[in-house]
Amino acid sequence: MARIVDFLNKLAEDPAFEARFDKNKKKTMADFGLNQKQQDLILKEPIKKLKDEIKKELGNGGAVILIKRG
Amino acid sequence: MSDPDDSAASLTVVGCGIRPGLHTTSEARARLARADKVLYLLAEDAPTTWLHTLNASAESLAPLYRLDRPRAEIYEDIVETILRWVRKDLDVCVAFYGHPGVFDDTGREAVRRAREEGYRARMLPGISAADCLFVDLGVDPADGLQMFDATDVLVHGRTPDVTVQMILWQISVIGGTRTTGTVDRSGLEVLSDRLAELYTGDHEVVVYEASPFPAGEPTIERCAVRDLAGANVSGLATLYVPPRSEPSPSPSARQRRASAPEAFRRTAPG
Repeated sequence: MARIVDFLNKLAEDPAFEARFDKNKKKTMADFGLNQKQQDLILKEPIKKLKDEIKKELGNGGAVILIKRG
Repeated sequence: MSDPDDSAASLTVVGCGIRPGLHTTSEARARLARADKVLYLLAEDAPTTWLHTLNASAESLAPLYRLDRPRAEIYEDIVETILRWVRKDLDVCVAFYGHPGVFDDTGREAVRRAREEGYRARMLPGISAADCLFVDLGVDPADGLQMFDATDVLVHGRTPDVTVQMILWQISVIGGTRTTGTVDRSGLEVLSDRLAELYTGDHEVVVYEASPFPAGEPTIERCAVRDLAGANVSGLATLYVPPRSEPSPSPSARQRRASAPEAFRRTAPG
């Protein structure tokens, strides 16, 4: 099973891949190896759930809020 | 250093945008790719691999954000970490999430200190959370816009112009000076009370967070000012406050209108 983190990295570094995703989201995710649950997390769930899943994949527990000012 | 042009040492501070990679300009990518040393601070732990692929020297500044550390101390550490690499006579590129010149204490200060020490230093723009908000909420800053740190509004008793839309930054950590992993609800209650005085408790506001990933939708939660403390506020959420009312036409503008140029007569109120 592919990781969401790797999918997001692919989107971030490859504009052609991102364009393909933008045109056909489900197929691009399925071709990458993401299962239905992972696809739903990316497309349907609030950002917080996606963040939690990424933390799980990376094994990061207590992340702090990375504020840049004040 | 006597002549900055004779040295390889330089500092470029770039913004990666809110969706790192996708929002990163070609100019910023080029500077990141060719730098001797890349330092970065992105809002999330992923995606970051693309930066390491772009430049193998990439190193995150996030470990400086240990829990319960004074933020002022962290910002000083960030600036000095950046400067340490520049002083090694390296071409250093630092990438911050968003826009490095918008609501960021460290990038500008690093550039200032680098220049003071005689190094070439510059900043390149990025896409800020405000830029994302304009498109996601469909609002135009040219209609008038005021932006404040939420804590600053409360501490200094600022009175915003309620006829002009407003963005309040950092609503999750009101009054806090140390790193935290949780949203401070008590600060939101104080903010809610102050906004109710200015706008009424019924006034609808928007808790907003752009997606920090190259996929996913923004968080847009509308609520009444009185319900703000219980709203779905995340660590990097921003508050958008629409104007309470239209501005009143200025009587003096109306009086001057007759003798004004044609363009002014077409647009002046009244």
